[in-house]
Amino acid sequence: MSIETGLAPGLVALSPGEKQICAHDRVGQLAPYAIQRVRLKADLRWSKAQLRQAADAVIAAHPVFAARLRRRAGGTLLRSQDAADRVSLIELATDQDIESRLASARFDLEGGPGVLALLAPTQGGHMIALALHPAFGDFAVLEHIASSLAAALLGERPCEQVLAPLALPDAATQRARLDHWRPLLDGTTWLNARLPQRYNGAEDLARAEVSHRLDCGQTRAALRRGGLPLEVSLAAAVGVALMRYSGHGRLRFAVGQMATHSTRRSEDILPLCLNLDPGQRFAEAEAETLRALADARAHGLPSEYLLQDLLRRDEADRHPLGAIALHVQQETALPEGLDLLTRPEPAALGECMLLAYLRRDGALELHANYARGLFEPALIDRFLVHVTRVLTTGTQQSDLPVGRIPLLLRQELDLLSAPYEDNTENDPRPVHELIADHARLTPERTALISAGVEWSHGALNRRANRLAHRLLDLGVGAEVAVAIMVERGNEAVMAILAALKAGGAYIPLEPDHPESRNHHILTDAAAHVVITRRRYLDRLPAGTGAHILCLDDSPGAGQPESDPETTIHPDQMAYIMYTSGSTGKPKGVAVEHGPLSHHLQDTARVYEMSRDSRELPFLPFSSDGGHERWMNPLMMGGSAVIPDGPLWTPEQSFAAMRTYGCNNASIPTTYLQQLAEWAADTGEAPDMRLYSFGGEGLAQTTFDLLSRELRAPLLINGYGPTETIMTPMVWKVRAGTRFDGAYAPLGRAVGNRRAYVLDERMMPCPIGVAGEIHLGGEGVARGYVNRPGTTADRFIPDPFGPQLDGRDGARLYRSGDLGRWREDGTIEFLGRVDLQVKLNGYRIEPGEIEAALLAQPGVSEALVLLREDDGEKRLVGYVVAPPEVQEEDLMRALESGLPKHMLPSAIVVLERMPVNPNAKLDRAALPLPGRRHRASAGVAATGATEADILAIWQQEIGNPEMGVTDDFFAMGGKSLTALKVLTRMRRHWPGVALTIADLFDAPTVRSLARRIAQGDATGRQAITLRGTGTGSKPMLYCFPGLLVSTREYMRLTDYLGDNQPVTGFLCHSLNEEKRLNVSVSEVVAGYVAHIRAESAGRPCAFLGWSWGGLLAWEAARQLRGEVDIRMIGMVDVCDLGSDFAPGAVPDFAPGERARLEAEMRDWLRKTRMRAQWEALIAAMDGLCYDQFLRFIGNEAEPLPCDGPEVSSREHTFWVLIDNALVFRQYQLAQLDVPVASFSAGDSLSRGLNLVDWRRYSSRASAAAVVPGTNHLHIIGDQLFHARFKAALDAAMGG
Amino acid sequence: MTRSDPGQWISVQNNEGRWSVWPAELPVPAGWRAMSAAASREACLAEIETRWTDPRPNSLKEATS
Repeated sequence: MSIETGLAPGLVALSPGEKQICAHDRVGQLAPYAIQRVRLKADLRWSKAQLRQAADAVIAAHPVFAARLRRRAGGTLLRSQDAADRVSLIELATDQDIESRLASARFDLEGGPGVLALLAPTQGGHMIALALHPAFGDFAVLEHIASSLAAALLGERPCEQVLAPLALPDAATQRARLDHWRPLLDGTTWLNARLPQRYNGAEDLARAEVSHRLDCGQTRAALRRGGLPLEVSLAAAVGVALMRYSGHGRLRFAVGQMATHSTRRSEDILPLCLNLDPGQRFAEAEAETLRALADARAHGLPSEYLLQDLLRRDEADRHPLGAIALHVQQETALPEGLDLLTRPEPAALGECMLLAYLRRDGALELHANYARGLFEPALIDRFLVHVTRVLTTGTQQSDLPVGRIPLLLRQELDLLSAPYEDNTENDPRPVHELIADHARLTPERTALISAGVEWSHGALNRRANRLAHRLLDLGVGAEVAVAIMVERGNEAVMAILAALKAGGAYIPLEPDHPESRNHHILTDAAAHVVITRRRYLDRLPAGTGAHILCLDDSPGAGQPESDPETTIHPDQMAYIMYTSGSTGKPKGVAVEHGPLSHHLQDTARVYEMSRDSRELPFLPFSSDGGHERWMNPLMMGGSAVIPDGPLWTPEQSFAAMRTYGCNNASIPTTYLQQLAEWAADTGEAPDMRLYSFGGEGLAQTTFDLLSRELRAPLLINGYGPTETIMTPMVWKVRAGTRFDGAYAPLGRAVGNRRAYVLDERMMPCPIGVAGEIHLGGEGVARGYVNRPGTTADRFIPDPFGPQLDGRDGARLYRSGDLGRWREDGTIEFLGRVDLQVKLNGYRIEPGEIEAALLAQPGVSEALVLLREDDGEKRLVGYVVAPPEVQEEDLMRALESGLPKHMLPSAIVVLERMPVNPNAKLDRAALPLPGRRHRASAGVAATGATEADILAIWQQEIGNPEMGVTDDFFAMGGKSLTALKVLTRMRRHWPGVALTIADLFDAPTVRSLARRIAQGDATGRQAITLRGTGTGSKPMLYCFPGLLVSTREYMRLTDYLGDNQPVTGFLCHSLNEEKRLNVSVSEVVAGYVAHIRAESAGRPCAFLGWSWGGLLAWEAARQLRGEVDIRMIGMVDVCDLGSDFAPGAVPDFAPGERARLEAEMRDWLRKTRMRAQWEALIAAMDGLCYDQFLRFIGNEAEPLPCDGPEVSSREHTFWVLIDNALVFRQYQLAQLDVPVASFSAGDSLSRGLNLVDWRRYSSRASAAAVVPGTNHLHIIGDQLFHARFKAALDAAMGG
Repeated sequence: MTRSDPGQWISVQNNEGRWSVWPAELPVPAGWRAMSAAASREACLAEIETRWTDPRPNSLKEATS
């Protein structure tokens, strides 16, 4: 099939790519395409005259210099080639002049030339420069011209070239190729590879660039130039780098196509679907890339066709062909003395476009052009470096699996993994000896306060010593466990110190924990002594065989008060802490004295502790963090206030801080929030120096709250598994610090430790890439008591320690936590490894979605999980919220804040989460999401009207449970259902002028029945989508596209927020009364009256979507001077296309017109809408009638006969034609109103005849292009919402 | 995400007598030595469960013996 049939001689049709560029140009937004420029320098071996002569010869021979575009009625552009139009070379005085002419080059696509040719002297020779509009050609065309010029300079006569004809696949081939691509690109198998984005980053129009260059030596090292094309190696390297960044081997990105034309544009992209594996060698990855490239090209299609096909789905990716695009090009060879000073500028498609350009001197340049709002510049810069490392290492170490190619250099890993800087030498003594020091130095200073009782350092030490001597008598010594089953308080601390002084290892036991748990701990650790109280004796498990000491019996009575003379080896156990694992029995983590003492000294310096520190440690003694926070102040000579009960109210806590003059507090995150809320309510917060916290992910809002309300200058977020001793990582910041991310950063390691983010092959992840957090260095535990296998599994050899710190034989603990390095080298927490979900190739952290759900009003608990029911995987959110919280509202709230791939497919509101007998969440008992279920049966109908309506609704919604008090939309009613329901109801009650407005106002059977009974249906055309409240903004009026019921605006309305009132107008076609020859001015009359009554003399804004753009324009014209229209947002508004544009004469093959006319007559005899059609046809003039026949002939489907119901195909068809007739009569007037216009990427790719509003208003701006959406879906598109809101805010603010 | 098994593992021990496992295809980090033939990760861990009977590091054993 050729699309060039029927054209006048000398005119050629444009390719889909050329059309798309013209559409971009027309709406004033050429990006992502760019004017192509080339600068060619010729040295002094050629004179100016020779250059001029050669250039003139090339200009005379190449068709691009004589090309023009001609617009026909309906907007179709055709390319003409006329010798009379040929441009000539312009001579300028200096190369500066060339630069300014190139920079200011503008092209008028309607009849102007598409190219500019310049010549000027430059240092050491002359420069010839060309600027070319992308609709006329790409860089390959310019390179071809440069080569021709070189040939001409060498005396060759350029031969005349003709414009290459279009070679488009025929319809059958197109269909077959689309069938090939669809399953590859539907997002379920092949990951559309992406680079890590900024937190809450948005893709706006701004782009940025970064480059990286390998000199020819480095390039030679990186490219094994044997046999394989350059693009294969580059695409393989990019693929491997993307696999390393995404953790996904089946991935795709777009690759540039080889230039096939030298006379017109042939640049395009195709998706490249790679199946890579980290175990492959680089040569294998190259072989796979070669295969995939061949496969892609064997199914080549203009990318516009693919894009249009993919964007039909509402949930299509923003960049369906590839978020990343790679172009690989080689500089054209030119004779000596000629130099190409410019590089290609392929279309900056996708989130990041990469260009690899091999210079003829052998150097390889890598350029990235990326969306500035999405990426940290440093991240893109590093990615380019990582691509070159993959290439170089993959080529040189051919046996290395690609998953093991180091992306980070040693120095980079050294910096990223490094702990807080601290060069202080630690005291080698164990912690209890450091604490005992102060009993000698400052015996009278306070050490502990609990329940109103104050102990000095001297008193604490004496008591601990006496008990320690008793323990020694009982045989406590190295590696002997002493359990402390005493409630938190001074005596518990004393008993712990006694156990340490005796050389034993203490085990904290909570008296109120279940007996079975405590029994397991006592036997597992073979506790030799249990220190407790008489009142807890009955909770002690029988038969442990341990010595029992009750503190009430003064077990240390009569013992010496002096420090016992025990020697502590640094590898000796100090304590065993039992962690409450989520499954199975608690595991005892054994920690040794050496690392413990070092950790505490290092931490004391990070926390800036001193003898003046007085800490309120709120963390329980069953967690190791709780012990760090009393040991720290005591070992510095300071003091701790130990809470005497597990639960203090915020009021009690603040009172204690004030009473005892605390300056530090360490508190679980959840409790800290209560404190901050209390402080916010009362305006009172005690003077504190430092709050430290940890235990769960800390959201930005919570951090802001405590940062603001608690008024402490220093905040520390502590993180650490028990296995790596207390808090191996901290994030220490001044109050008021902001951070990017769902959770507060975990910070960096403390002391002689290092923190790493590693991928599944133990390779360090680049900054921004998610991996498992590993902690290594000195501060790791000995392991799990009695579990050598588990210890060996979790504590693994440290491959980095020997290199970075000369630490041989060290171990790493793999935490099971996901994290990523941030730009500043701190680590961000992302969730648990075992809870991470992979869906459609995306790695999803349910925690991030849960955080978004929890931020919604009324939601008290949230859980997001991946369900697999009947083989179908989907994300489902469960929330605990009051019944008035609607699932639909939660979903819309998530839509406005989360990327598409993170949206759950369903949300279920529960009264409470189901739990099993152990009070743990019972996942199996979570209900399957489905249609919204009622708690009880729906309310039955009373009376015939209710019964009739209910029957219609139940049938159309397909929900037999529905009752007369249920909301139409909440029960699953959609816009189309609403139309069907209205049609049926109107037929039932022909006397009542029901419109969709009635369904909005009275969305239950009962309320609607009342209206019908009273005969007071509104017949209204305006629907308040969001009312005016206090402090609200001026009204936004939305003008409907064809058949728009206003429900389409709900997502936008939500995005704009509560204080933006919105009114939507109903499309006039949404009823069956068909009036002919209605004018645009009549259509808007009702809207205008409404606006006039509501907003006369006041500011407001309009939104016109599709055909609604014309209505908005006409309304604005009629309301001129009456209302203050601050902005008209024009959303994808098209002018009449060549189908029905006045003057667009249709082409018919011989005999075709008569055949079509007969077909039409035949159809009219069958349709129930015959009368309406005949009236419509009668209103057509001769040309319009021919256009109608042509339109029928172009329809692939048989003509519809299912009218006249509003939701039928035939009705839609009738409305479309009727509308075209109305439109033909309308002339857009010049108006002085601000216009912000928005175009869907798909409409541009189809080359639709979009209205350029700058022609009608001097206050209109170029369109904002919204990629990845089409004419229908743009109104619900997040990116569109963001851009529309920005424009609206600017218009209202200005 | 489960740790993808690169295949074969070996049991290793460090200079303090602590045990662990390591991918057979990678060089053993300094300070560790191979203690078994290549096997599955589970098999190596099961073997360690029986062979690592004294949890104390070598230095401590030497100091207290």
